[in-house]
Amino acid sequence: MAKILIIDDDPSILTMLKRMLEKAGYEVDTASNGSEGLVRIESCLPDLLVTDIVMPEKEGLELILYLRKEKPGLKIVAISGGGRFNYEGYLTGAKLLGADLTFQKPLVHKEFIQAISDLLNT
Amino acid sequence: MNIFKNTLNNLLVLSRESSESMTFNKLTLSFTGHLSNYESEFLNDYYVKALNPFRFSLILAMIFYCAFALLDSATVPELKEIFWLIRFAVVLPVLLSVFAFTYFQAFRKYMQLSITAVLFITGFGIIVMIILGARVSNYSYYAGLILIFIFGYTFAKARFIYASLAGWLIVISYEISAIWISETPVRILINNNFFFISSNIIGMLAGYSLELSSRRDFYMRKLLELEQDKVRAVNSTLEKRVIERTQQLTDTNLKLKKEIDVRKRSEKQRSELEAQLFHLKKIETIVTLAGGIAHDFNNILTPILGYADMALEEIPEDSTLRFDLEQINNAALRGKDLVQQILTFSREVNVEKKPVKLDQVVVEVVNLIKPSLPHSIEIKKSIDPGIGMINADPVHMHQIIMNLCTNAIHAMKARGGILDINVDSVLVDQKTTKKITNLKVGIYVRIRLSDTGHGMDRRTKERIFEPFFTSKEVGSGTGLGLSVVHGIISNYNGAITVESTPGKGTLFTVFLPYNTSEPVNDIKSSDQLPRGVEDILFVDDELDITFMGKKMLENLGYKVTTKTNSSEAFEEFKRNPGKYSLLVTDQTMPKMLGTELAGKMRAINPNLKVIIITGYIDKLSDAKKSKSGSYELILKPIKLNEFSKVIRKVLDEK
Repeated sequence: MAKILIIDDDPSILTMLKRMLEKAGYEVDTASNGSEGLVRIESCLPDLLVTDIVMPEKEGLELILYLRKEKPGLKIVAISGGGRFNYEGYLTGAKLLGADLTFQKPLVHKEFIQAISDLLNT
Repeated sequence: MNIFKNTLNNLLVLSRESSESMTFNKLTLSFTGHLSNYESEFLNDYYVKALNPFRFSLILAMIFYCAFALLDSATVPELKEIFWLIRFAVVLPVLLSVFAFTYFQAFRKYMQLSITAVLFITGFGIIVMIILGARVSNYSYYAGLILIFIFGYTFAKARFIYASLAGWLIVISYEISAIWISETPVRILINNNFFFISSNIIGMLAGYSLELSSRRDFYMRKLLELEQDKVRAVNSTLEKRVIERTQQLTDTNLKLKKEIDVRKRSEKQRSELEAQLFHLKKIETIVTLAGGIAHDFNNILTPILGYADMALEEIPEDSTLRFDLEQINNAALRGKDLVQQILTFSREVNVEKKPVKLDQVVVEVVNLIKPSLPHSIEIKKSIDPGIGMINADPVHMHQIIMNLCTNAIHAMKARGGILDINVDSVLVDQKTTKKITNLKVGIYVRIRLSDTGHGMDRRTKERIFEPFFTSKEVGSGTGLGLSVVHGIISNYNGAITVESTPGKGTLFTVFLPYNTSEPVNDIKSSDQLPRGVEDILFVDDELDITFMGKKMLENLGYKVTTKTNSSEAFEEFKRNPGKYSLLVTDQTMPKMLGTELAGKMRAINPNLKVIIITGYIDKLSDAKKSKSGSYELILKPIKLNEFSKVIRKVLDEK
């Protein structure tokens, strides 16, 4: 069973995504910011990471840049509700820095689950 | 004698007081010192004034001299023949000939001598009569000499010095004759002398004072003239200054008026720009705000949508909760769309620009909306085939046209009407850029979309591009439509303007910059645009326009020389009058109007073809009527398609 780590600073989104992915049959762990996320990655060794971009402590873009170097095998999905001043720039940036998929919040449930499953099967 | 001296002194004192600076010889009375220059002028003046009185006194003297013939026959009848001989044969002819002499030019020179002579001769005649009268003991004729003194010193207008000369000559002659020739008794001699000499002296005084006063008159007149001259000079200087000052004032006034006009105009422009700027600022603020809200909103929507979706998956098909959950889901999806729209309006969507031809977009949109259109609404579209590409995201262009069409249709829903879509390319010049803030000089694709709907008032018009502003009834729209359109157009460095009359309809004009990276190919590839190879002289005082004009015309194959100054253009033309087949000139330029320039060039080369570009309809007709010939006219803004056709037409004319 594939392991997924979710990082988001919004607890309601975190809880919702955890349930959604668990229902889809994955083992899910969570973290509420980038630094915490890095610790979790070392302890639970996930196959896939779902991360928000705009977060306190360590934000998503920095995290992606770091992980792409350190964990080349880890699959990364970036999600974002848009920047305060530059809406789609973050997701474009995430893609450029090495995220495998990007999703605009709010997520459309079926599309999201389907895309995660496709990504894990490649 | 003392009395005489006193009188003389008084007179002198008087004259000295009244004209202190009048300097003259006390004996001859001639002007001296600083006045000596005036002597000849005075004499001349004196002559002119004395001439007629002298003639009159001569006539009077003749009458008296003849009338005394009666006295002769009464007092000395025995001698009357010889007396009459003296009167009529000697003195009268002399007086007559002097009278005649007064009508000659030479008299001017000899007047005073003539008067002296006349006085002496008449006096001498009387002296002869006195001598002869003494023989018959008549000594009374000496009184005649007194009459002569009176004449001589007054009426005869002799000058004092000449009259005195004549007077004393007569006195001496009388003394000689009375003492040595006629042996007059001493008693009578003394008696006569008393009267005689006294009257001569009184006469002298009279003559002296008369001449002195006429000299003083003259002098005063001179002074007056001098003063008058001064006053006149001052006056004319003053008048001149008044005229100058008035002119200056008029000039200043004119300048001031012009300045005020310019001020007013720039003030108006400034306030218009300020309003536009304020409007943009307002939108900018809302955009920033909207961007921030969108982020949070998306985060909020995420769990709503997610949980609703999951719940929908789990509950049985027939559950009554299903409908409720679907409503939550739909509402969240609408929220998602709304955020999307806000973000589009806030220009923060990623744009994939590629060359777009607007005619295709318009056709697509029209096809899309036509089926749902009520019969009362008609769509007209005219698309200039020469409009070329613009660099844009086709989805955005779609959105703009769709949105404007939807608004237009909405406005005509109640009464029906015509939706007119017009697309062409125009050259935007400085005049337009001054009116519309976002534009720069250059070629733009222009979309004009007009409806005959209900229109809108000024207040509505001012706010339609603001997000969340809507004039539609609640539920009909989000109020984001036009602000999104505005956002997209601004993002492409274009501009949108709106004109509207309540009850008549609305016109939206959209300017989108022409794809300047490859305009050449576009125009070249367009077969519809007529081309040529002729030499064209292009004149406009705006450098940007000449630049664009050159580019445009060279793309059509022409050889183009540009000038931004009418006199330079004319110099260039004079150097190569046969080179150019066509002059394209702006009508309104400083120094010389386009028509004037064309007229001057036609005077050199009558075959020169001319196209005048003008921004004003009224000036258009003026130019058409121009004396210097007929010109083809093009109205600003220049449309590429029309322009290329007119050039070809003019060049092909015989």
